[in-house]
Amino acid sequence: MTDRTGSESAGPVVELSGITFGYGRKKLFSNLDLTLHAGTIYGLLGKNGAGKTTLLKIICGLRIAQEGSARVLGHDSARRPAGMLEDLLFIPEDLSVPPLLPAVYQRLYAPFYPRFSHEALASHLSELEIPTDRKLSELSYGQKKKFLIAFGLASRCRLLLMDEPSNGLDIPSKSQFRRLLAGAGGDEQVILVSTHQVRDMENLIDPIIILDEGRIVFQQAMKDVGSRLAARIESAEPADTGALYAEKTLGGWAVLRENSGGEETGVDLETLFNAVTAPGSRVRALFDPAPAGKGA
Amino acid sequence: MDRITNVLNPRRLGRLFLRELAVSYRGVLVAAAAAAGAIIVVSAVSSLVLAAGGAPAGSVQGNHYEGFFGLLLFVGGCIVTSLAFREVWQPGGGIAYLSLPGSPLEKLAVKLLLTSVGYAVGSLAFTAGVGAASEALDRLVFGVGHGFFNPFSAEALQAAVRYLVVQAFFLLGSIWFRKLAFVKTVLWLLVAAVVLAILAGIAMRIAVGPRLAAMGNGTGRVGGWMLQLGGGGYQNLFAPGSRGYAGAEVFKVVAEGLLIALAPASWVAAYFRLREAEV
Repeated sequence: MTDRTGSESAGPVVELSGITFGYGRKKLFSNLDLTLHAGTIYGLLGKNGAGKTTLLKIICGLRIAQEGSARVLGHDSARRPAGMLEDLLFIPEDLSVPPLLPAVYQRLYAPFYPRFSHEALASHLSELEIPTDRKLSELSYGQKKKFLIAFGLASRCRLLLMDEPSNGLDIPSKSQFRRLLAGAGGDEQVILVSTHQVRDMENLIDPIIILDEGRIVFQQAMKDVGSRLAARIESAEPADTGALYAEKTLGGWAVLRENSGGEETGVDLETLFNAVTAPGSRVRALFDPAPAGKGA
Repeated sequence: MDRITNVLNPRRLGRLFLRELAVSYRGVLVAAAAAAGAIIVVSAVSSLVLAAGGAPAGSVQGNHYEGFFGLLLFVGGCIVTSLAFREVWQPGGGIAYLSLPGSPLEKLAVKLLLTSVGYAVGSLAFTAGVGAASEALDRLVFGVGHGFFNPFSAEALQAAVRYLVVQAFFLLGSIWFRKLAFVKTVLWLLVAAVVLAILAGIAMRIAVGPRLAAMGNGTGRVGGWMLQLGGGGYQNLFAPGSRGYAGAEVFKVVAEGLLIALAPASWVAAYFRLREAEV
């Protein structure tokens, strides 16, 4: 079954399989697999240099994998077909906007996206308090970013990629952004947010994808994380073997244990990320006893 | 297999055209204003010199607007063409442009049409318009002029066609080179010209060397790479009606044909480079 853009309407929105990619001799990804399904706001976490931005670029065909296949909405993303690009919008960290008024930009760029909602854009621009009487190139970095986020959300593309969207936003803007994102993401849409700012994204991004050592080492819904992990603050470093992970915090020791009692304790993203990326991580082994890398 | 609408869609093409015009019109206007100013000032100074030199009132001397047109077309056009894909290599710009809904063919077609036919037609109209204004001003103020520029003259149209061929190399350079595309393209063309000249020299030496040696100045040899064409040998070899003349004509046609064929080859190469571009 194909829709009017010629893409497959069923199946995963993003399907990366056996992706190998590197810059020069340095291998960044080796046999990486990732599957993203519609109706969710995925959070992509990783250390500096882990390849989060490169992964986003491979998804939208701006980088071409040396091995493996990258399919987006049923298309081979490396070919960047127009049918795929009409349903995909990437908001990068390095912004580039033309010297146009927001209204002119809207008139010129919105027709490229068949599902674009002009009402939604007007509402988002108003909520994000973006000046509409100045050219985009004259706006501050944060204002440009807010404009592109508003445009991206209004485009209603089935795949919206955001690279560090909360970087450069002031405190009120972060709250506005969180509100907008919480209200976005229809049943047909995938939003993939790559971020270091996990506190900005807490309770927004779910499932969590963690990229480390050239592959996806963790891809879980927060509900599953909560049902299998119990997080507690303890006064001393745990000595028992039941503790899967412990790190010193201001209030004591943040400890992750297997959730045997079934109580929901809530695991914060920062602790989870540290636990998963720690050398010889027992948390990672708990979720994926088989070799990691497959989609959830 | 891609659907044809995925590769070439008139609506998307129109949107890409509009976007391109909206984004670049300001730069074009500034450049056009500068060029117009230069044409008017240079023409006025030239007319002043003519009038001061005693040229009779109402006289028309030369047609230097053709020279302006040549400069505008070839130098300006090649620079503009070299900037066509600059946004692909700018931080953030490449992501925005390459992820813009449009096939590589559509994106290339828009840039190609605007920088080739669009620019050539624009230059013809611009030179005719500014030339007419400048000429009217000069005749009014100094009583002398340089003649009007005729955009439909054979020379002007021939130059426009030649530009369409030359600019294809600069369009390829624009997508090929990340920085200084104009300078790098010029250097590559120079290198290619030198290599071609050497190859042509070798071919000529092999093809007509013995004949030249026979007609030589009694030394019985052709010296070095330079063909020693003393004693009227050159005239005899390429005199109208001779085999050499016919050969030279064939060579000219083949060379021009090859040059013209290189234009579509450059477009194809530019298409693949754009399609494979990574940022």
